[in-house]
Amino acid sequence: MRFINEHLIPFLNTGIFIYALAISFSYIILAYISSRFLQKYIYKTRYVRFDQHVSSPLAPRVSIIAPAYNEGLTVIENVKSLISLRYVNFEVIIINDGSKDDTMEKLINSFGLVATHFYYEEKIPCKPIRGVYRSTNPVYNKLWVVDKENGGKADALNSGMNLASGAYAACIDVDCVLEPDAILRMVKPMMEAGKKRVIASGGVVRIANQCEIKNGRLIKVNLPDNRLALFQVVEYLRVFMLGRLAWARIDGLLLISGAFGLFDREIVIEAGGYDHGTVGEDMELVVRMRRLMCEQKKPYAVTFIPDPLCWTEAPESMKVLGRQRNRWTRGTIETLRTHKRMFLNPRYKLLGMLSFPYWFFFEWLAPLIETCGLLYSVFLVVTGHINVTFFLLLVLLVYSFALAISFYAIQTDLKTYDMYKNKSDQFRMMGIAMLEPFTFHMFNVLNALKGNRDYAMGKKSWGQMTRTGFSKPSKS
Amino acid sequence: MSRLPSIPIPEWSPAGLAAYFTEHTNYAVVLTLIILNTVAVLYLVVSVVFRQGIKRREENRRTMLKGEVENLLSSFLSDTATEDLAATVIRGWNARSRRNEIIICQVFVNFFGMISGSARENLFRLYELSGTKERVIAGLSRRYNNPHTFLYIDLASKSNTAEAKQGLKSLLKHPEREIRFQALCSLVEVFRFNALAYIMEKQVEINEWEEMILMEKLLTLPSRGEIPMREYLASGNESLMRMTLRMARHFNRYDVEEELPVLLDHASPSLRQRVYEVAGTLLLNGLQDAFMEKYPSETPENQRTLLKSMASMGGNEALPFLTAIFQAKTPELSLLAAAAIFAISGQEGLRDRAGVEPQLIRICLHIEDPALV
Repeated sequence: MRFINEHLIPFLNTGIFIYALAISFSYIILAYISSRFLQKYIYKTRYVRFDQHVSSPLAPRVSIIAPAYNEGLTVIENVKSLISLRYVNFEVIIINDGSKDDTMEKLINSFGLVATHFYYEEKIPCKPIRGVYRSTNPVYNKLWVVDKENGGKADALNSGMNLASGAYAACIDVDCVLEPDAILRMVKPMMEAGKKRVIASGGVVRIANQCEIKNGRLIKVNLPDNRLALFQVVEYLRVFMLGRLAWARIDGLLLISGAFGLFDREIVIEAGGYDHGTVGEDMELVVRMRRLMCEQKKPYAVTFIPDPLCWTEAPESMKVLGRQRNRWTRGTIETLRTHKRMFLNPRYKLLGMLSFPYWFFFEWLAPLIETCGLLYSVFLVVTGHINVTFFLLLVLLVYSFALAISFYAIQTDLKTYDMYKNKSDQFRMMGIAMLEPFTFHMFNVLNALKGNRDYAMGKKSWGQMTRTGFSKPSKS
Repeated sequence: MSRLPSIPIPEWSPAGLAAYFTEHTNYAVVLTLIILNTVAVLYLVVSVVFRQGIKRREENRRTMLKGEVENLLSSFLSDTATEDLAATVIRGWNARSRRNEIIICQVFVNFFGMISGSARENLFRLYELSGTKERVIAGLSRRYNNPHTFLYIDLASKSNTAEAKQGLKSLLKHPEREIRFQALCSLVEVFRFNALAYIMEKQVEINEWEEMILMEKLLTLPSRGEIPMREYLASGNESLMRMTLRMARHFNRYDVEEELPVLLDHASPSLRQRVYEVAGTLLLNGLQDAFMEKYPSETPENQRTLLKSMASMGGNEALPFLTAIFQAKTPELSLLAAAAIFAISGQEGLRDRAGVEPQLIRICLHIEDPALV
């Protein structure tokens, strides 16, 4: 007992205090770097006339790769939306990943597809391809459809990489809605690369639930009515506007969202493509590409575009969201474990010394430490080691800090892109940010714990992601 | 239920606060941080709530002033307002705030873009008299980050004065890349193709994105005959050389052919790639021997480009070279070589070279498939 009182409790107190201080400090630093980067980006692109350059035939060729699995309900609309993107030199490769529904039939009938004798080199191993289809209608001459045996998202993307003809490959979820000039905006940093080769470029992903979408185009931005989706709006703002931007600025970005990312195809192939064995294939690929470049001692960069370029449907049910977060946790752990050699390894410079430890301590371990910290605090209160008032003050401190960070993300978005113009929307976002620490955040922590448990039990499945299609526009 | 222990309250004096920090360090630190967070939250709430109102008011003010400036310039151009009156009013607005100056510049940019002839000369006089010109020239010479430099550049190129041209030229050495490039684009608007000489003179570096934008501008210009392409190709400035090769390709400049063999030995793979592209587009058949010689030492990307060019410029002499690559069964290169053989000697020529080898027959099927053209 004496040992607990004199040694263990002070040790744990100091440890938790240092951890909390480090994580809070990192958020402040990241927020500061992000806002500086955003300011500079807006200043630099203010006079770039993307609308004029978007039709330039001189832009490099980009292959858009979109895997589809059982997407029969929405695939035609989604493909039409991709084909009508405003960019000249591009092709759309839809990979039917062994769908069990009528995805392939619908594609063949709607676009007048015919089987071809396409010859390709399997640079990245993937499941057998049954056929490569092209449309007989010249209107759809940018469209390629690949019918293959089911092998999962990573496998589908790899087969797309094998078939693509562009120097750059944009990997997207087929049900995402892209801004018309999204490709050009993403290609820009790659074209601007000087001595450093830009191997990948990511963009901000936003929540499209209840936004007005017509013919695959975003017409009007609305906040979702569903509370769970609303929580995710604020969460995505925080993650993208304050987190990833900063990591990109200091060249330590480890994750480009699987929903939309542009990659240098040559490097992807050299790195071996997407890993089939992980559920976090998006993060794993970026880490592997970066690792490859570091090991070859080639100068490179991974960039990030703060413009809202991609709109995606967020889960609206706890069950689906839980599965998604569980998978994200497992994906993070798998990637960190696969590349554990990079951890605190000076050979990988900032990546090994800062990004990797950050992800380990503040992404993987955070939910575990948070839960332990909470239980420990309750233990201290119950055993009388701290008084209840002080404990409540600590809770208030954490809450006020979380609120400040969320509000800062909302304010940054209003100052820059001003997507949610209604006053009521702004109040709703602030209101939901006030509820988040005690509700949505707890839910996420719980699912992260489940993810850790499932990882320890060797679970590898993706978990079914039910799409409901974009909801009707909000009445408000 | 027992009452919660109360929070120790400090004495509100410097000494009291200092004592509080020593006696109740934990409380002092936590309370201070809570206060700081609360202040930040309140500031952010106020900023979110009032932001729209402030923005709307500013927009209204801007629209109003813009309308007034437009009316004034229209009255001046239609002789209902005198030059002195218009100049005095604009000077007054300019003096009031920097934001006014920006709006006035924007209106001048629009008017210069719309009118020509004597009206333009009159407007130019007003531009000088109102002191706007001076402000623009001064704006161009600032060396620090200024979000309005782009606007000044635009106005300088549209006003087309000697000082403006000088100001634009000096911006080619500006520390900020974006400003350097914007100045170059404006110089192209003023001096057309002759502005390219400044790339050489000032050793400006152009990346691929900038090249694309510049090329878009150049492609819209008439009279492309007088561009000294051979001089540019010999300039040693890699950016300019790369762009010149692109221009040669788009403007059908066959006279660059003589310079190309030398460029095949250039250290930059991207420049050599441009050489292959030009030769392919302009069907410069005379270069095929040099290309075949260069092929083994080229980068994979350039090998692909070279083979693509061979499909359009290659002749019968290239067939043994292409056949060797086709039969080597390196999938991507074999496919490109097959396409070139098909273009030179037709379906039969390709089939003869494929024999009964299944992989080569599959390549032939790909090449012959009309859906894949």
